[in-house]
Amino acid sequence: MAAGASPAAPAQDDWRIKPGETLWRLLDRNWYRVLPGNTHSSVIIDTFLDEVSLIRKTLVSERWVDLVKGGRFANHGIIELSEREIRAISGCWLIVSADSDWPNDAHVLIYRDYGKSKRLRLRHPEPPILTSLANDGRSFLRPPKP
Amino acid sequence: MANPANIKSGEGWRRDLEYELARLHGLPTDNGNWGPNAPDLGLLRKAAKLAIEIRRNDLPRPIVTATSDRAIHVAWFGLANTELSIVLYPDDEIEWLLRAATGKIETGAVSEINQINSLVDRFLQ
Repeated sequence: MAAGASPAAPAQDDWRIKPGETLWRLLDRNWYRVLPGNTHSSVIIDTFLDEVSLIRKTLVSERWVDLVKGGRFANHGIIELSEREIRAISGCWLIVSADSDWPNDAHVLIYRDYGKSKRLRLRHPEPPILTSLANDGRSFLRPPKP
Repeated sequence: MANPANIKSGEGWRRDLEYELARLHGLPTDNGNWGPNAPDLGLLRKAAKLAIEIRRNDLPRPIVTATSDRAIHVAWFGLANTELSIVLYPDDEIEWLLRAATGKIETGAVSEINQINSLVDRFLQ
């Protein structure tokens, strides 16, 4: 669980995340693999299982990502997703969640089913859709470092 | 349909599963929800049993990963982007995803092991 994540279910989508905003999902290299039969790496669905933390591009720089948590994410990739794409998935909300490692209001969690749950599981419809968006050629700001 | 290029001896997937599960044991446990966390030994042993419980020898080699909530994800990919994914969760639930060549995705929960064998048969059709 992300530090400071709210335990209470939200009552509504969080419109502090404004239309047109870009959100970053940091990508661990273990979740970026060459699938059998392919020559290039792909984002695997684990990236969008469990709690999915996102960072608002308008509030965080790439340099911040590289330095936060003692440089823990310096080798992570960055996937860019639009709030519109996420909210277009039925029932998906974006909720700002306090996390002291990031600037105020920068850390966001995806909630499914109109705010009922922030835990995405394989049987849910959202993870494959989000994975497909991430594997869209437009989505990479940078891949993870090997 | 499985990719024939990935089928070696027919038993290759079992060796790879064992090797990859051992690798997961070495993952960190403090990644929060930013990366994979090492599954516990009991769940690793449960996942290893898939090598015994799945009857088919002609599966391609699996991709084996851990999720941030310490679940284990075993995935097989075939031609035309077909996929069979099995996730074993620490709460003892097992879920599956099957992607057909048409792109149609089905998902569900596993109630008994023969269901996984049926899913494997469908993946290899």
